Amino acid sequence: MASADGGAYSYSLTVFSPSGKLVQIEHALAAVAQGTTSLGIKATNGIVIATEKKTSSILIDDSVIEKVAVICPNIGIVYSGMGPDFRILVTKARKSAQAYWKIYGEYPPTKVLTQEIATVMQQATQSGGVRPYGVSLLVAGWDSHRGPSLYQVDPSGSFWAWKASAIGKNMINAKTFLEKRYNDDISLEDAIHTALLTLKEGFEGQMTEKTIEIGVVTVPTAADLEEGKIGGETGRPKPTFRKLSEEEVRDYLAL
Amino acid sequence: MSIMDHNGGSVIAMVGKDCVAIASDLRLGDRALSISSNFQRIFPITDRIYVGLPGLGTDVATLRERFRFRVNMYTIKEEREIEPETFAHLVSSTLYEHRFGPYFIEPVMAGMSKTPSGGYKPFIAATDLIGCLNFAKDFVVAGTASSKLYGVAEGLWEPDLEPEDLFETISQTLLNAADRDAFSGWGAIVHIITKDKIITRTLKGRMD
Amino acid sequence: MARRYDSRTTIFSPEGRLYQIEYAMEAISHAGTVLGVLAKDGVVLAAEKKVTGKLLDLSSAKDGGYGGSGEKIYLLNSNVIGGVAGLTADANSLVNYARTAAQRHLLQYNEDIPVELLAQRLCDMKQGYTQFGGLRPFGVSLLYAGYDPHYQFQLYHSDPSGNYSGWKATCIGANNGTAQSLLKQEYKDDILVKDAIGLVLRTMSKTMDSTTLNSEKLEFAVLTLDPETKRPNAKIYRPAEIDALLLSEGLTKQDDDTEMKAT
Repeated sequence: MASADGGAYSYSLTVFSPSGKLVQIEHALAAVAQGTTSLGIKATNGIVIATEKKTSSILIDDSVIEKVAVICPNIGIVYSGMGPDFRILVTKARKSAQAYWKIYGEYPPTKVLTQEIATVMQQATQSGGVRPYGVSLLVAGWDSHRGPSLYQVDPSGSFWAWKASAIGKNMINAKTFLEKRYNDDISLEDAIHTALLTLKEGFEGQMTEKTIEIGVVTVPTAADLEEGKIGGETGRPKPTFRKLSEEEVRDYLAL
Repeated sequence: MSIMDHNGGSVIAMVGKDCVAIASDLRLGDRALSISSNFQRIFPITDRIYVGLPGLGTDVATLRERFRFRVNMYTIKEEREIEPETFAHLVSSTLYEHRFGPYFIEPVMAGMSKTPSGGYKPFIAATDLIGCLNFAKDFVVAGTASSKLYGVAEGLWEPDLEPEDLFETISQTLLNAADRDAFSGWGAIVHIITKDKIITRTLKGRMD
Repeated sequence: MARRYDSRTTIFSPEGRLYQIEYAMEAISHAGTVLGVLAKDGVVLAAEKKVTGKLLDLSSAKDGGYGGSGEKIYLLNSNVIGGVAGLTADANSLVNYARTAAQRHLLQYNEDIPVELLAQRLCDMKQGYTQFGGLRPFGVSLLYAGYDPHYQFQLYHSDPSGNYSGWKATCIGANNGTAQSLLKQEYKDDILVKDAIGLVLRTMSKTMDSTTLNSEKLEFAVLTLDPETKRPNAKIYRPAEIDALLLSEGLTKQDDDTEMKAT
């Protein structure tokens, strides 16, 4: 209802309960817990993020579904929860990365971009007439200051850096599994292998290159970095985040 | 007379061997009348980045404060010091924000930038008053004596000058160019920046 | 009956209460404790981290940067450190606002923002959310530890209502009542930073929920004046420094080891 004072769209929908909880955020987390499992693992030389690509019918063309998204050449994200909400956040994240590029001539460090996304999500818990986003995100990226970093953002807008984390349906089992298998010296190859094993634990149905998506962050060499600078070969930074193609996923699954 | 000449003043930055130098004159005038022989137009941004702001005096102060705001926010948010290349882009985008009502300043930057291997590389850059970046490899000049500075620098500069030699070169360049320019002069200040220290010297020139 | 008046922030209940604010404060009473003590020559802040775990990535805190893992203690300006208790996302929003407010003041007046003024800026904003707009309040309480040339070292506390006050020693978050009474007994007006550090750590060890007292659960910061430059020096401790400090104070407790007596 539009009116001068904003009408029904001017009140916070997310309000405190007598026990001090923000119930809408709890409900949003429940929506996330119903979503397919996603996980991320940080290795010494990169990061892997992976998710189940579950379709509700075999008639759906699954090549069009994109659960692992590229935000800018050095950052990618995956989600658990409501797909449409994710799409909105991806668009906002991409715009935010470009806005940063426009000012500083370089893409944002992972933490800075994560903060921007988290701010958007927090505003949806406090602005009038809107509900929180029903997604949790795993943001994986590389920057020259911190190297590879993995962040988890929740519907409340809080975020933490993780060495390994899982979100969605099977997150509790997956996290326990990860805690046992993770060590600080894990390599990217081992991390991808561990990620697949973890996903397999709670997988419903066949795990093939068509039913999972994997994104990978790698660490650039000195030569790569030089290329990206002004006066370098291409002047454009070489992407450090990329999605694995179906063939590559199939090869990893065969191992 | 152009608004860029109203207060006068010039700045130059040069690249040396593992060092950079940035220097400016100290004159502030009101057209032909000289008011100050002590006007600061070079400012530290971080321990390793200096920016020189020749042009309209009021904009020198304003831009210096705006950059301080933005760099402070950057430092506190990113939890690290800004690098010279990033700062140069910040300068460029700040100036372009006022594309159709610009600050009358042509900034000159000098610094030492971190290389992936952990060492430091000399860096200089300059922009025009609306933010067009120039990443030179030898020297950059700006201000009322810019045309004279170009001439002398082209003659005196050579690559890989050690800090002390770079000091002599940049000082002679600035002093002689400023002597030919009515609106620059009244003394000079020179900063030599290496990876672990900065040496600042004030020069006595022709006080006219 | 009260339920009808408690989902709108900007409406009074018949008894004259603003329930949303009270509920917000209830949320904070479950959050990790933050403790602050004002000394003659500085201010000390400590906080209990609630988000811990083997897989949490703390590598950014280890070297460089401004220390802290950014959950409880933040640098607001070169002369003010903030400690937050409550909803993390709301806290991030307020910290960002505080940092921008401090820079705006610097731009306008060419001086570091006075500590009380920074607290006021945040509180004016928080109060606005309780009177206009129909938006829910921020579920965060903050402690501000700062220095300015006008009133030297100061410690302030603000809550979701937008109320703030100055303190010599105070505590927010879980178990703040216990901590507050402990502080009341031991605090002396002329306490120095080095003793305040001990007082803060001892009080934390008695009020924290966990049995271990180490850098995994604790964030720590101290604001002093540099004797040469006379400028405020804000130091947020890195995990290794916190562990070293606990060791020197004799407060390192581990699950397995026998408890060491506090000095």
